Amino acid sequence: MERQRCIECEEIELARVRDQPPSQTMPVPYQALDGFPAGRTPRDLTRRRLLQWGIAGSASIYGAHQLGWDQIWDSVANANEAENEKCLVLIYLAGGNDGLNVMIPTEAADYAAYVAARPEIHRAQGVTPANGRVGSTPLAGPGGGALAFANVVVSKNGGGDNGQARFNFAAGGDGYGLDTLYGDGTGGPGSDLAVLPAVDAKQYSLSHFDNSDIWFAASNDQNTKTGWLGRWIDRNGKPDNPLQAVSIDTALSKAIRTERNPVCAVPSLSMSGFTNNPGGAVGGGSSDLNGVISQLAGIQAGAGNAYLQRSRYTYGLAHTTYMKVKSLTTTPSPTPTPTATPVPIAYPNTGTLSARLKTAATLLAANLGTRVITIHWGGFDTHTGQLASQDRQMAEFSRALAAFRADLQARGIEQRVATLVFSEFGRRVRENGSGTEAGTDHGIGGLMFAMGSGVRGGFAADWPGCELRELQPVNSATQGNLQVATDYRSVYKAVLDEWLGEQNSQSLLGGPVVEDLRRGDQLTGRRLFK
Amino acid sequence: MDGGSVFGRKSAARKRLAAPRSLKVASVGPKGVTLKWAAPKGAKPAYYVVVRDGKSLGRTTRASFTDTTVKAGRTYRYAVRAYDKAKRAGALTPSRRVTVPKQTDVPTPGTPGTSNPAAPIAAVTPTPEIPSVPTPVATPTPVPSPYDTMTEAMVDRLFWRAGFGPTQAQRDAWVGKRHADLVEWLVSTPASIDTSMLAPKTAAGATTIDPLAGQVELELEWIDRMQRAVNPLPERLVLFWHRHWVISLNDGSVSNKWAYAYRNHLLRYSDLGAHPGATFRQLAYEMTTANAAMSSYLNLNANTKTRPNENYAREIMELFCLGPKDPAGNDNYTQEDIVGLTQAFTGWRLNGAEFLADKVTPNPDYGKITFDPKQFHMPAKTVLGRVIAAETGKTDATNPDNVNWGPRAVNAGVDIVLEHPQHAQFLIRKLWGEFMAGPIPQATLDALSAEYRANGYQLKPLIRGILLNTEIFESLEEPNLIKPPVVYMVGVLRALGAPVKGNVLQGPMNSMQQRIYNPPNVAGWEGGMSWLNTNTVQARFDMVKVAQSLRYSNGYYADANAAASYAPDVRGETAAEVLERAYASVGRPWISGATRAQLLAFAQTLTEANRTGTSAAAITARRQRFYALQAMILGGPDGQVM
Repeated sequence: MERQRCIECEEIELARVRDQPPSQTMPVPYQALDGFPAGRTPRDLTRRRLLQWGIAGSASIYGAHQLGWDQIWDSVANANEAENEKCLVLIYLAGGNDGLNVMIPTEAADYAAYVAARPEIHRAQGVTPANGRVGSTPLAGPGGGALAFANVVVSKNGGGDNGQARFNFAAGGDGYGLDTLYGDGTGGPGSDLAVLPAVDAKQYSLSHFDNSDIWFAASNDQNTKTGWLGRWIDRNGKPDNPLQAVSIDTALSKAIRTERNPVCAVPSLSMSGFTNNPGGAVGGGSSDLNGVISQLAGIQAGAGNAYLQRSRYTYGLAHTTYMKVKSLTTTPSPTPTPTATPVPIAYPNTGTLSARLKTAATLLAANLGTRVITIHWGGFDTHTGQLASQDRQMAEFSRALAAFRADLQARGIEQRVATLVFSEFGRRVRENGSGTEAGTDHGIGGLMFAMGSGVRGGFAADWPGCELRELQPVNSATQGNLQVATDYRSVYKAVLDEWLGEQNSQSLLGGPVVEDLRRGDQLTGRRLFK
Repeated sequence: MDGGSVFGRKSAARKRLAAPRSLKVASVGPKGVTLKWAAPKGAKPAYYVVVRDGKSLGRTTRASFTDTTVKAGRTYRYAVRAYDKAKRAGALTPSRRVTVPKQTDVPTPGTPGTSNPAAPIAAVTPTPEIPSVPTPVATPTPVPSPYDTMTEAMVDRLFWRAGFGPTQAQRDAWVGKRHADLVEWLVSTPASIDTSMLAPKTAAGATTIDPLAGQVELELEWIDRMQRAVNPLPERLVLFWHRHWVISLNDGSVSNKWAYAYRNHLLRYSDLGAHPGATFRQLAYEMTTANAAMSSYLNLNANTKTRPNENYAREIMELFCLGPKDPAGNDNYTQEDIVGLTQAFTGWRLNGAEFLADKVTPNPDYGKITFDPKQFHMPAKTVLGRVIAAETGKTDATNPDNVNWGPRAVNAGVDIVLEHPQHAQFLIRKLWGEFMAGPIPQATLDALSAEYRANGYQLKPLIRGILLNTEIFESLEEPNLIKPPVVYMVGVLRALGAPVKGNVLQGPMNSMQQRIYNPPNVAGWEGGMSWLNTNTVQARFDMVKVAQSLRYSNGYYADANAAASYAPDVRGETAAEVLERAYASVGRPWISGATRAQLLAFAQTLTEANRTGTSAAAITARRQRFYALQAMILGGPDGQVM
């Protein structure tokens, strides 16, 4: 499990909507995830039926008005029947992910400056040497002259380290990594990962609080409460389908906070089933009690004892629902092609990120009108002990992202899903501390990724360089940060224009005129999407 | 599912016939059992079907039935269902348990020598409808009523319905004693903490809990009161008042300090041993004039003559005292009544400044409520057809009487509301439902209401009256009332003897959908069937693991040898032995025979190698089997009813 410190909890908390409680809660029936009943009428999803079928999860709805049960499910059923529309999965790495240790400079002078600034934590060039320092693999294609992947995000099959034993991930997944998503880096078919180094607000702040508000609200005005995607939902979304934007979290993400249209937060869909596992702390282990509980649930209660009957019935239903939801969140086997044997999809483990991505895949496949999903993942505020925590997290991230992609493909929906990953800022070029305690302080210019077969992969934003003369303040060894090559709003504009089909993204983003995204590989035409 | 959810507060009325009312055993004898009942209110069923132990005995068009197929010495359970002309079934009555006595003067035919010279028939009401049943012996030897010598099942029932489950000590003290005496003990013993039980600890390991240090400690203090209560009834009553006179921390209008004061305020109306004269009337008055949390949560503090705020006045009628409609469906009050009552409640200002002007020194008057005559609506007010007299005179300090205007108006308003004919039945039905599974019989409701109104709305006689009603023992052999999540949770902690530490109970309370101090809205928790959905039963089951961790790990005593806390390992234990040991370790709660059989079958699945092995893996497997049995006994479907 990633090292969590209190500040990460604060980070995640700051990105959530805290000053507005949900307007109502709504159970998400299992049936909704498995397709609507024959006849496609949401009338079947009355409360009485819901109790018969079981609840797969509970959504906290944030909306301006109370919505009726029929109203919501009518809208969802309409979305289910309508043409499939493009969706965005937004992954927020909370705490300020150190992009410079994920994408390493390759050019000689750049690399020398990098090593000089980070004697403890820098990566090696090439394969991981014997001393254990993580190696790096230059980007394929045009980006290779500027950047390389740190090998912790490179798949085992690609010569990388993200399958190392010390990460103790689930078996399989040797073919998963950011390199496999990156492909040949040309932006053509198979080149499905875009790397955008050094993205930030042109007007930045080093405080967590201000920056996360900027990134989520896409506004330099601190009084803006809505999120940039929330405003898009207000303009283009439905008035009665809260599932159109979902935060997979206990509270709503500020990015999708709306003024009018309803959105919701669903913490999880998977249920754990009936397992008693107090574990080694009490000298015990784990018992799968699903079978016994389903037997206990089947015992007939006495006539007239409605409560005991209901208790047993509900346990039985919980068991059945668990088995069904488990089968839904388990990815279907990939279709075998004539030429290749299907490889089972292996998320790295069942930690927070994988569980949330699985929930996202299940929700998107259920086609309930979801256009945006947000996932927050903490643990990146690596002031100390950076290698121990960030290596593990980025290894997990690279495998989970590739597994997510494979999951979406197996469900047949990958072509309409794009994933955007960001962090609220980068970190200082120069490390602090020493030995195993070395880490980095808050910096500027965060790393972003965009992933999907619809994404125009490759080196998608300028790399400003990290030589002393290229930093800001210039030539400052201790305080120097990366130049902000790309304004985050340019990335948002590309997403809104090219993927979500927004006609007037400038009015959604507000503020000064938003520049178009300038790719690092100088390719013209579409900026971020194929 | 919370009260303010997508479905609204009230579920749609059902079209099926209601249950027949007042089912009772008119007579019982070795020749037959006679049942009588009344039709469901306002309905004329086509016929009734009598059900015995789950099987239909037959139908009748009359409101009585005699079952002549009974055998002496056996116990039967009867229920009745009404059917309409379309042969659709209505709801079932709560069941009635009857034991057919063995008769002395008529030996059982065909088995000479087995006639039992025991005491004759128990309760008999001679009925003219069945003259063929012989009348009982003229001078019966008095039989001790079962209510004078309680069985263990009866003691358990009382300690669950009025508490959080019995300890063995409580069973030992009360088995064989009188029902009436235990009820008296419950309503008369002042609340106290059993200091022989382990005190809770904060996450850092401190044993002094400061409820004002934060929400976790605030909740820990309350959970501890419930867990270590010597007399649990006051704690159950506080929980009841909390879901009746509702405040919540969830909208930010109530500070922790006020919530804690509110809880202590409710204690004064729950600890009937220490406050035997407590009345609902005084509770209503104080909630209106002397409770900061209530004032803030329901905007009493914003209710002035120039800007009246109707929130509190509406809720005191709709939720706290009358209900919106009477059982026949008529409105209990009108908008004009709300307006009038709002006027009567004007002028009560709440000091909400936590600090003095320097923003550092705590304000000693934080939370204090004072009456301001200048904000009071002086003209006459009309509420429920009665007039509260106008006040005259100056509003400033030159008129010393004006400080009495507020109390006079609130007293008058409260009195008018409580004198509404629907108040008594509204409150009493709700209180009855806290302790009883079935609806309150009309005769009982009438009697309790009359007493309650006559004695000035006293709470102690009312609670005593409810707990003394023998309906509380209905369906004794198979408990039939859902444990609310907090009652269940405290029950599990007590059953395991688990000490509480840190913030491990907040998650379970959230998942079970009852977090103390945090009801979802002013209607409180909907309760009843809504406690159980597929998510909450999962949470109830998972909660046992939390309690096991508290009990069997060394988290509480941080320096102890970890293995010393584990549940003991017994090598070579048979399935029957481990089941018995696990059952005893959680206080021998009720589980059904069929449940027990399934648990035995589960216990038998342990491999022989693990049953008798000495390896660490075998020891762990044996111990885990023990934990799994505990989890299923406490956290399975049977553990959810009381």
